[in-house]
Amino acid sequence: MSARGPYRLSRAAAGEPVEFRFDGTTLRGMEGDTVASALLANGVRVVSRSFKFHRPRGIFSAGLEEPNAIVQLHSGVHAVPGVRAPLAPLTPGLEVASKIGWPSRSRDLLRIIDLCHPVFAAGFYNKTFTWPSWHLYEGAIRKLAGLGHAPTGPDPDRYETCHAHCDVLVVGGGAAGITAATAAANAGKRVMLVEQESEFGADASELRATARTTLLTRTMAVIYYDHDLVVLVQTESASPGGPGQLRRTGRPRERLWLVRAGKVVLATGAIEQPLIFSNNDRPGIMLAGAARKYLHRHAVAPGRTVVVATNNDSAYAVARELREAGVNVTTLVDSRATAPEKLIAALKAAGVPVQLGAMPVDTAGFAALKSVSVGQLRGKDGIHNTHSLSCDALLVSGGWSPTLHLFAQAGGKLAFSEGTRTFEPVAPHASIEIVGRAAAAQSGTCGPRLSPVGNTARQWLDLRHDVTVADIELSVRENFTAIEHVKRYTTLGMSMDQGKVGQAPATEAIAKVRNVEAAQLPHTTFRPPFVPVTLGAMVGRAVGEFFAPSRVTTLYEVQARQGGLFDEFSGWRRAAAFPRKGETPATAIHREVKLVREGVGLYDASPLGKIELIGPDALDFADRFYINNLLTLRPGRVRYGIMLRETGVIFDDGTVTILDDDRVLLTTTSGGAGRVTQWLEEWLQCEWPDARVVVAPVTEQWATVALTGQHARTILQRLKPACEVSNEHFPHLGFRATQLLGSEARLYRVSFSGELTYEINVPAHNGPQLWSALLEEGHEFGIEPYGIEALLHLRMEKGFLHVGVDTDGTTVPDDVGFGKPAATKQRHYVGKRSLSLSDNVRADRLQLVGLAGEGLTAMPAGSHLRLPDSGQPTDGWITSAGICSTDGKPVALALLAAGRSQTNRVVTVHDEGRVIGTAHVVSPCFYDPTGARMNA
Amino acid sequence: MLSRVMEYSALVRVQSWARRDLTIPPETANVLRTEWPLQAGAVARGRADVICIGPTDWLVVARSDLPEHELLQTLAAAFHGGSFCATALSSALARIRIEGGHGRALLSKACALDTQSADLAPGRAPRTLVAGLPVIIHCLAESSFECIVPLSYADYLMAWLGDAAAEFEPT
Repeated sequence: MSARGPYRLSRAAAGEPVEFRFDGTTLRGMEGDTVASALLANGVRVVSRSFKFHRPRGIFSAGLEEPNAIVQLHSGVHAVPGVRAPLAPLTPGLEVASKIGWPSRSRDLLRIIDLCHPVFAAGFYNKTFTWPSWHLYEGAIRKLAGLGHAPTGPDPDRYETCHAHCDVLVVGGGAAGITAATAAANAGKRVMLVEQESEFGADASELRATARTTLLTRTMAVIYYDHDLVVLVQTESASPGGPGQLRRTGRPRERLWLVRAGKVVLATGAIEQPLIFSNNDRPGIMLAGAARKYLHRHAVAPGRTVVVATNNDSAYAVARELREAGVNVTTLVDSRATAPEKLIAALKAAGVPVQLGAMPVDTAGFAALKSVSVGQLRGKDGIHNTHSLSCDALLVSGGWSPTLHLFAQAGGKLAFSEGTRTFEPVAPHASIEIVGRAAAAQSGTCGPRLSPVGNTARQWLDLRHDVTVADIELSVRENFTAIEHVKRYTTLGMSMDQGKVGQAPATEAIAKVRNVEAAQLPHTTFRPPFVPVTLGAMVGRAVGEFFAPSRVTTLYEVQARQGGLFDEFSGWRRAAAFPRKGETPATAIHREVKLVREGVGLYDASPLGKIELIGPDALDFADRFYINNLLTLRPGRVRYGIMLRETGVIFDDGTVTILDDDRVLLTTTSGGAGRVTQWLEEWLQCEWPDARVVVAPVTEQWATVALTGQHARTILQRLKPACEVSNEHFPHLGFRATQLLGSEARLYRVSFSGELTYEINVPAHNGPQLWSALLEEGHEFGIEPYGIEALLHLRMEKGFLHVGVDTDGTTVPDDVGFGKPAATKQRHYVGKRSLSLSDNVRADRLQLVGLAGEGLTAMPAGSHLRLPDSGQPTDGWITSAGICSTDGKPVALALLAAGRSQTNRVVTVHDEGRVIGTAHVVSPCFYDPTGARMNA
Repeated sequence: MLSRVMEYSALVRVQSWARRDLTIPPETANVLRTEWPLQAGAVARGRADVICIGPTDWLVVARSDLPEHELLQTLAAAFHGGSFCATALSSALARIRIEGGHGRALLSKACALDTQSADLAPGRAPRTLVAGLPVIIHCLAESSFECIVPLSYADYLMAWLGDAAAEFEPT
């Protein structure tokens, strides 16, 4: 085998051979090759099988529009499916697979589908595979379609996201783009010039990368958002060490740029369109412009005997240049009746005859093209003098369609032009300038593009999705006539194509079938992104530890040293439990519950939300949000409160304390501090801007330690706080601003466990000191830390509400036993008016109840409940559950239809569709119902 | 180069409830020996740095010679009877220093602000989202920045920026 490949022309520049594997066969390309050029150079004609009919297909283009050569690169964790071969740089040892065809792409038994093609018309799948469910067939159909394989493990490479700003963003690094970028840079503008290839397409020596000029190659503009935000994807150059090696350098494999541009210049060029005739999909048929690119960039010939078919001027140069490179170009066929004399003369001089007013009508061959039948056009719909031309490559040019996908994404309007037979802008866009071939894709008019004769079931409009002219005919017959309906019925231009190849011919075909002018038809929506974007590029570094922000308290490290088992709770990393050696988390939680009930424990409650309202109207402002009356609150006292949305639904709960004359401190749920702050700000800024109050969140300013259990007071007294902490002077629901351990402290007498508790707040940086001091002073009482799982169990036993767990997006105060304060508060508060809505006072609303299990070892949270003789699929569900620490029986809180009126009734408990036992409906408090312990 | 600023600084948030007719008490300029900035992102340097983070919102960053309690007392005296109030946040906020020629490139990975614009010139301190977190970026010099971030996020942000800076490290 030649190191250059049998189709490599002798004029190829010297370059190192590069070995790679295609479907298990070792081949050689050259340095600088793409996978497509290397396959062409090796004479590989069939590179894949088609999506639906498994027809053999070859390389059709030389760019991002490639519909056939979609290959898989690498394998295992490095696997990359769905790569367009013309865009994949060839690297040593590269594994390339076609991923379609059974048992192989060259001998594909599934070709039987093509032989039965009349059965598999457009809409066949949608009409056939619906019973009993599409999903029954989906796996097999996807496998047949050869969509490739996802990587088998986590992606080893890095992906990055960057923001950029510029005055002028130029998309396309050809001559027009470089000219525009140079002019903008010379005018002192901040410029970004991006080019999809590895090199600019023209001389860019006048442009230098500076702080004000950014030059990016291997970069594709893929999405144009509102306000001129353009998304680019930049691919790093291939790493010599292969996939995964870039990570070692810290550099990303791909970088997603979010560019905010003052103005966007589209120098995006144009995409060549095909000619439509019978069997226009055989391997060896290629766009003429692609052949030119392979010739000049890679010195690869498309075949040994070449016919060129065109409807415009551009292919003349291709034929001449191939001929000059020594390729046997036998004929150029032009569908126009006339062509510029100069072009014809130049070709004739090169020894290539020109046939005017003719076009291909059919081809022969299977795995490779053997000949093309060319007929002379007569009138609008006639062909005569058909004759066959032997060839192994047919280069087609159906005109050039300007690449205006970004323009369309930005809201620019396009319309079909009868002259150029492509879609062109109807009106300018305020932020976009179009230059170069994107502005004027071709000179002169185009000739006929669709063969007037032939089997329309073999005339391919969309090679990627196997859509034919016959499919269009069927779609229109079935009354799917609008262009968007045709697209959906036939899959024309879907997926990665989005109107790149075949949009213009398809529009003509639809117009012809509908017997209207093509100019009357719109185009389908060019959906972003312009080309497929990897999930890696979209996600960037938001994976693993950076998937979401994680918050820790100043007590994190000290708890970690004490064996804390951390987990995520409402965005905070908190100790779920402190398992001892040999303990499971469950046994640790059980021990910690017992510790608090019988001794004393220590808990990091720092994430508890803390918000100060400051100003003369602070208390009045707070009172507007709670169902509880705050105007009777006295300094030194704490009041529990529930906050509602306007709908009356419970939004958050916490406490309210008066710090001084114009300062009120609210506490919220741990996960609710941010949203409550925003809620208060919204009302303050939008509804009550004259209120003399500000909102100051202070959650992180304070470390909060809950000292809980019967010995809590004794231990606190030993730390000598500057206030009296006896029950007489500091009763339950009391508050003291004091000094402790030489620092400012705020003490709460509140309890979420049902036991005597002091919540001690000190400046956050003093938190570890407080924690250590409490452990030291509590040592003789057996004090130990306990985690959030134990706390949640303690509060469940006590029947304390956990907003977001025991409530959902419909729960109003009466549903959870707070109907009385909500109804008796005279003053208006947010949500009050909604509480009287008919739906909020329905007798059968879900209400919070307790459940005492019978014959059950446990009642899983989430289990559904059914009442005896219920006609409903469910009458409620368990919101939180556990084993009661006092009697060892399963207990739960639940939301049950008309729950309070069901007391003492028996419900069945359903877990994952089966009955697991029964439970009695009881009061939602299983521990110390009089509150004696927390009031002690 | 990334580093956590460990040296003590009193941090106090100043807010005003006068949303319509804001009048800066003249005493404030005297006590901090600087004019009170009124444009969001502006910084006034005096006895402390006063960063304007909103129309009626400021962050005062003192140096080590001005402890928190003294700063609070000073401000309280200056604000007495007016619409202003001060809240101590010295324990609530952390500071992360970014130094070096790649500082702006690093920030462009983390936030949508134009890092080359006057918004982030030396002496400016815009409040924005950095790595999705609420952060004030105080530009101290052309290649020196201080990110003021809620304390609970500081470890995460340090790790995030450290990972993002990997490509700027010499290999």
